[in-house]
Amino acid sequence: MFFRRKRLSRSDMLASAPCVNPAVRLTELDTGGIRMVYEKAGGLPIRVLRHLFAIPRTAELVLDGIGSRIVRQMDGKRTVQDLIRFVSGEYNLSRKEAEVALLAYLDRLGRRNLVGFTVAANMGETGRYDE
Amino acid sequence: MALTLARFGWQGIEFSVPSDWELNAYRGVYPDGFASLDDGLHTRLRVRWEPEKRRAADVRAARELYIRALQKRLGRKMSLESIGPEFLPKRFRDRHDALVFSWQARQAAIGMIWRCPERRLLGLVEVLFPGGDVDRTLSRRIFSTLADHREDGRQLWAAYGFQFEIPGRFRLQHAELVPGRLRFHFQTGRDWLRVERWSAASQWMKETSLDIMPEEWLKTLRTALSVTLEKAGHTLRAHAAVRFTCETREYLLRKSHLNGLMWICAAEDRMYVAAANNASEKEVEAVARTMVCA
Repeated sequence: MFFRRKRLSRSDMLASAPCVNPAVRLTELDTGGIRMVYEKAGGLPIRVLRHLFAIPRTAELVLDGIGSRIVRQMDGKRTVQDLIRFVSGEYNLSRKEAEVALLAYLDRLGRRNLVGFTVAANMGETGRYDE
Repeated sequence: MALTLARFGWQGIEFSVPSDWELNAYRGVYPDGFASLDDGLHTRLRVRWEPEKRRAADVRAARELYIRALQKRLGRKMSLESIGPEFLPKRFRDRHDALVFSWQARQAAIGMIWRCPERRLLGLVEVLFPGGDVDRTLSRRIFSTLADHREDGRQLWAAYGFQFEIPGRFRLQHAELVPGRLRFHFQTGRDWLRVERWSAASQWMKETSLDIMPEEWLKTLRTALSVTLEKAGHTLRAHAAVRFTCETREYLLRKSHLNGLMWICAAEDRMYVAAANNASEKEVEAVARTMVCA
């Protein structure tokens, strides 16, 4: 309420490096996909309710071939921009097509805390918004 | 390094832009609309068009109107400069009534307001320079390639590396531009034309083949009745293609005849579709032949 979250500019976002949350267990499947097993998010009340109703603490997500190849590229060094280039080159998509698809995919993984983004310390200080 | 230009075409307006600039927003229809392109980081070009005499009678009035709006938005930070007509090549000036100007605030831009007497529209195109330094040569090159109608009566559509030409009577009804799937649905009266590009064709074809794909595609129309496929080794520009025809039911009782062509470009791993109702095979093929692939 009192502190506005700093928002990254578009260029900073593209320069950030996504990496898989180390708490997520990755299993390579025979189909070429990846199974991601992760602990569900939630505060104490949610955890209590989960315990009461015997709802599993973990969930799993099976990635298809394309998703798995993207996740394998996330080493904490390759930037979002690098991944866009990778997807664009690998699947013969235009830059914009690759960008829209990849950002939506990263957003979905990020919402489940499956990936995080390494942002350089001096980024986001300008607080500017690109058009 | 030499700058590579690529053609961009939308709603009958076309120009050449650096090949890494891609469509990032659009709205509107043929007589009145907007499109913008970015270079991956910043918006680099904006074009808008509207019928003349709606808000402004001519290019001068349109320029005044736009400048007033800009000054209101950017305030005192903005500096404005008029650019003489000699900025544009003579052959462009001969065909268009146009005014060029540049403005500078946090970012800079060179803009042009022009009038097309054939389409009776007023257009505004702006090349934006986020760094603040304007590149007049680039702007001049872009402006001089602008076309707002074609003598041959056709319309060029080009975005995301997907380029094709359609008969000029069709208007865009709906465009679904999602990653891996670009679908354009054009309509004129009760006749329609669909042009599509599907990327990563090998992924789509994992469980099916090109021979069966038209039937799968026709299911998306939900109006197809009996389907006839012509599988006999048809090719289009050396690509394996399938021609398909079917009856479709539209508006409950009305039946129409659909002709379509589907092919795969293996080098690009993309599948292309051109289909139209109430159109001959030749007309569909004429559209298909303009669809650029490797």
